Formats: sequence, C-alpha cells, structure tokens
Amino acid sequence: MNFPSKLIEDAVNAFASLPGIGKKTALRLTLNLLKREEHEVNAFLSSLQKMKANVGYCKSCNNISDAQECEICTNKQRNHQLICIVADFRDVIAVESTNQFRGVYHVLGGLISPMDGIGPNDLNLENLVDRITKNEATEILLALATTVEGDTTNFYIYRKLKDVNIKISTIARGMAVGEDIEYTDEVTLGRSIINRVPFENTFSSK
Amino acid sequence: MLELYLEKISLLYFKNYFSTEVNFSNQVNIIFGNNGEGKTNMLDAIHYLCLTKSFLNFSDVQNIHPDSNSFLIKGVFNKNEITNEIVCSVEKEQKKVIKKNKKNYEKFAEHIGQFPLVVISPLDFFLINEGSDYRRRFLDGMLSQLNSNYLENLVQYNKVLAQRNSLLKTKQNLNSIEGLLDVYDFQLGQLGNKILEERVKFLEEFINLCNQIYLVLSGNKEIIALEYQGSFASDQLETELVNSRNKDLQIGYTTIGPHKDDLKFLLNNMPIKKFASQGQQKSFLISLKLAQYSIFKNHLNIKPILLLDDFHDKLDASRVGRLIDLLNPQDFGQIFITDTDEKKLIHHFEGKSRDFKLFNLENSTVNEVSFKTLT
Repeated sequence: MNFPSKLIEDAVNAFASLPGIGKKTALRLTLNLLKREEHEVNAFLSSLQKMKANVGYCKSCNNISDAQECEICTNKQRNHQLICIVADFRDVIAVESTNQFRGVYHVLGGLISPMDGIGPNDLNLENLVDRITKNEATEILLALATTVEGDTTNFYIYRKLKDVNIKISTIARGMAVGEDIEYTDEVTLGRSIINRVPFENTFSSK
Repeated sequence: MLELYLEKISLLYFKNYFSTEVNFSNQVNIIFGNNGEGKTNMLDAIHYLCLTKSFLNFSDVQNIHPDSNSFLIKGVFNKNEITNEIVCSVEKEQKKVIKKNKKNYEKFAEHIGQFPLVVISPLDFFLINEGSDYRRRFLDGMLSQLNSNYLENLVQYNKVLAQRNSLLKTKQNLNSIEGLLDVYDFQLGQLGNKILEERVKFLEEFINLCNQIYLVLSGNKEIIALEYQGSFASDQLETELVNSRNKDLQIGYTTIGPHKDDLKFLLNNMPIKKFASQGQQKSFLISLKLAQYSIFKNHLNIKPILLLDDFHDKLDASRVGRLIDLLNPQDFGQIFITDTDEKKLIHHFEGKSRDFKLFNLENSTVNEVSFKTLT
C-alpha cells in the first residue's frame, strides 16, 4: 500500500499492530480519526494514556484494578475463605456474571504451557499459600479451562497444596444446560455419565 | 448384520478421469486394464468417499486432473436398504467439502466409520519395511474407530507429551523443572497405562484372528506371531518416566511411553522383514488386513467394503486360490479387485456361484464387459 503522507502511514501502521486489524481496516480507522474535531481526538488519546498509566493489578488477587486492591478483594460482604482460581481477568468477568459466586479470586495470568514458553514461575502462584493462610481459607475452587494445559495447571496447584489443609474443588464437567442429549458429543456425554450426580442436587441449588 | 455396498460412482476430473459413471455389483467387482489406466485411482476414489482421503499418500490437489482446477467424486451407497449420496469435492485453494445427502459435514471425523472400508494394497509393505510409527498408526487407527474413548486418551496423551518434550528441550537443570515434570509424568502415566491396557486387550483378539487367516492362506504350513514390544511395564509408566528423566533431559525428548512401543512380526519365530519371502510377507499383510476386516465386522455389525489393489501382487496360484475361498459371500460384503490380467483372475471365479461384474479400463474410460466374452 502506498500512502501520500508519511504521517498517515505511521498512524496506519500503529493501528495495524493491534490484533485482528489488517492494513485496510487500519486505514479506515485512521481516516475516520483524521476527519474528526481535534478535541475529540485528544479525548480519545488521553483516555488511552490514562488507561495505560493508571490501570494496575490488585496486589492480593492479581485482577485488573484501578486501586491497589480491587473492588472484590476490598468487599467485606464477600467470603474471603473461598478462593476461586482463574487463568486471567476475563474469566473473573465470566464467573462474576453468573451471580453464583460470592468468594474472592486468584488470577494466575495464564496456564502452564512450555510450548508457549509459560512455566509455573511465570504464573501468579508464589503468594497463593500465603494468601490461603492470611484469609484462613477453607476451600479452593479451580475454574480453569478443560484443556490439557488447564489440567496440568490444576494438577500442579493440587500438588503444591498437598501439605496445606484445605478443600480443593473444581467446576463440574459435563452436559451444557439446555442441550439435547442427541447433539452432545460423545466425550462430554461419557464424562457426564461417569460423573453423574444425585438427582436432589439438581433442584436443591441455592 | 447390516448390508453395505456402493451402487454407483461418478468421477469428474479425478486423476486421469474426465467424466465417468460406473454401476457396481453388490458383490464382486473386478477392474482390469494395463498399467497407468487408472485402476488404483478408481479404488482411491472409493476410499475418498468412505474415509475422506486418499490411501496412496497423495495430497488432495495432486489428485485433480491436469486440465481442471477441481475434482468431484459422487457415490451412492446402499446401507441397510437406505440410499445415501456422498459427495467429495476438492478445489485448488479451497477447503475440501464432504456432503452426505446434500448436507455438509462440519467435522470429517463424523463421517469416518459410517461407511467402513478395508484396503489391501502393495503399499502395505510399509508396515513391514518402515519405522515403528507406521505400525503404531495401523494399530491406533483400528482401535480409534472401535473405541472413541481410546482416541480421546490418545489425543490427550499426545498433547501432554508435546508439552513435556517442549519442557525438556528448554534444557534447564532438573531441579528447576522437577515440580512440573511431576505433573506431566503423572498425567502421562494415567493416560499411557490405559492406552497400553487397551492395546494389549485388543491385540489378543487381533493376533488370534491373524493366525487363523494366515494358516488358511499358507495351507497350514507356516506359523506367524505378532508381539507387542512395550517400552515400559504395564501400570508402571509414571515411575519409569521419573526414572528416565535424566536421560530424557539429555536427549531432549521423552524416550519411553506408548508412543515408542512397536509391534514385532515373526514367521516361524524369525523376523518377517529379514527371513520371509515376498510372497510370505504379502500373505502376512493380507492376514493383518483381513483380521482388521473381521474385527470391524464384529464390532460395528456391518460388512465393510473391501478393496484389493493389484490382486496377484507377489502371491502364487495356490495362495490366490485359497484367498478367493476365504473371500466367500457369507463373510464378506462388497469387494473391489484390480488386476492387469483378467484371464488369470476370472479363472478363479469360474464355477463359483457369486455375482460379479467385470470392468475393462482403457483410455481412462470404464466399460463393463460380460463374462462370456472373455471365456
């Protein structure tokens, strides 16, 4: 692509460095900004700058946070003895939107995967044991992806905590709600049969 | 037992075929013609319809006629009196499409197994001459089609294995990765022990069938054996992985596990690769494939389609005769046979009350010929 202006070319390249944005989309976004009023563009840029300068990570749970500690960790209403372990902050949003969880989180920042260059030391695992002690936690809920990397991370945490007296649970694996038996894949259906639950549990949910 | 046969096939720009349509017998179909006329390609087209890919190790694009940008294979199968139209089309720079009764498949894996097929071809010699991965793939292929749980375990095993190997390749010292190796060795141990257990259980039935078939083929003269060569003791994979950590770390990959196991083929207690004639090797390979056929038939309750490429390949007349006796209509469904010499072949079928059709291939066109014109 040839540009009549070096300045536009730089802006296009900056947009194109974002994931999911190709050269053509980048050009469209650039031209859109070019047509806008100067104060609009300034507001746009300063919102990005403020975001980058001020967003940080919660010092207890490693969730995205504007303050030193996130809103969930500072909330006295929540059960600090129940800690849910998730891979990244998007999973916090997902679990929060269920409205079924009133404990606190521990965000790992990824899953163990040597193929992607991520080892246990790259995850936020160092302070987990301290946190369990400090919170007098009684249960750890593992809410990680049901992939090989998720399983490996689950086992790694399980082994790390084997000398800590705490209940370790994981989210249920099986049939999706509202799904027909005939359209469920064999592996999922097979798991659901092996891990079947007492019927009372299906309607006595809190 | 469910009936399965291919009623007709149409080919458009597949390999050396421009446009061809053939109606088949539901029992024996003999395709003859000179070298290079496309006998094997016809079998490959059938293979495409059943298993979505070529058995000749060609890529999809290599199978397109040089004058075209795409090929199309259409087949009408009769499965238990219900007709199913299967279409496979490949276009350059496009994704391959498989349709059943005009409906696209999202995953080809859903198609595989619905129209089971076994192929016997000169390429089978790979199983004897090449490395252990060919033999594992043969074994795993059979087990995966019969047992989806096995396939799931195998896929998981390979994923964990890839992670463990990546970790070993980083060449860190053992102390710093020991914690993570504990986890991988535990996971591989769980999965690998199950894989070994299933393989051993399956081979018991399979080896027995191979022996019986080989005895018939050789006229009760020779005894074959298949031995599973494990790289670890059953139920001990985790412990053995822990013990081989130092070695694995030096080499940079995992040296034991089901991915390193092999099958040993023996004839009268000697390795087949070195001590058997080509005819004996061929008989052995036919026994493997017919045992596979028999296992599919029993487990899936359907008679698979059988492809026999280059029928007289390496076999003497008495073994060919015994093979044809084995392929009787009680035990086998639809069969496709290719050969260069029709006279030699149909002589074996004379006097046997079987329905069969003969096809002559010349200049890339298929003509059905009547039995009488040849005798």
